[in-house]
Amino acid sequence: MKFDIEELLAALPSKEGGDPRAPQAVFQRLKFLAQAMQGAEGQEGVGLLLRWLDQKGWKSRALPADGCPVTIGRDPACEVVLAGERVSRRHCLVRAVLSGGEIVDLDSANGTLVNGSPLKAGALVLRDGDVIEVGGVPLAVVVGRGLG
Amino acid sequence: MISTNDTLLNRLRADNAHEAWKEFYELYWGAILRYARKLGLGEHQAEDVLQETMVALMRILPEFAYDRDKGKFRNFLLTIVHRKSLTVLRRARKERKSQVPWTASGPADGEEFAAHLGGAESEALARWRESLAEEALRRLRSAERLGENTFAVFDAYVMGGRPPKEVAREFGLKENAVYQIKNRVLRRLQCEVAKLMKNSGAT
Repeated sequence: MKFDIEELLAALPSKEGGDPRAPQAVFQRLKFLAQAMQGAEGQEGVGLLLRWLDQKGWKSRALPADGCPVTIGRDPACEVVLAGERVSRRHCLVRAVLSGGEIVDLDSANGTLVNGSPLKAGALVLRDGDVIEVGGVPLAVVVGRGLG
Repeated sequence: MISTNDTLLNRLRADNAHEAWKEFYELYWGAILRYARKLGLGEHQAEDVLQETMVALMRILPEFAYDRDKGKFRNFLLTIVHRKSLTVLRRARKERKSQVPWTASGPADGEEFAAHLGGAESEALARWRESLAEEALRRLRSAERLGENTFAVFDAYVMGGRPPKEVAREFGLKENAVYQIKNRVLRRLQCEVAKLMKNSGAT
């Protein structure tokens, strides 16, 4: 990349600045995505990358495009473990496929959101730049160059 | 140091595009939402278009080869907004394939199957210009560069198509004042639209 994407989108209008009519939720997701995508540079050979923040910093989980689901939840046995009172023990499943990814909620108590919308029954297609919220914890979906 | 002569596009592609991205977002969020809504998308879906358009731009723009003579950036931006709108529209119609079981074959890639502009380009461009014009009018109003009364006169006469004599009577003005308001607002509107179009290359 020729530019620092995190720095760029840190400049997006916040609640304190910019036009108050602009959708704030989109601003916030783009800021998060900008940081997540920057950290995804150089990750090659995976179908999909999940990026999220915990107390120690950015975490990543690469999913090969083999269709095998990865479990996200609070249970230490999950492939992606998220701390958070609103995260269910087994919260949702994500898998990478050739065209991107898919996600399904495992009847979690607090539900799973994708770009602010709650998941319904069945699988939802994931695309590059989607933001998943699992019990309030945001995870960026990165299907960028070198990742496919 | 960014030269004031640099186009917004060039500044977006520069190493330090911090302010340029902010400017781009602030310029176009309204027009992109309006365009998506014109294609029949709901408010939340239009926000998806906005997010997906911005993500696509962040991905592509640094390596985009701009040919000013061919006006490619105009087509490039419009195509992204249009395709993202169609993708989200198609997704909404299929409820984003939300009923697909895990055992089903891989889902269709919205990008791969997104419709091309093709023969509908002029229609799409007209819709985009209309979105820009509406956004320009909203900006004029929100920046309080246009008084409520002035806008009401303009709205009644120009947008509502009512006879100037009737509008003048309603607002307690002379008929000539109604024409003056129309000309004044149109001049400001043209400047605002020109600013948006210049930056998107939609000239």
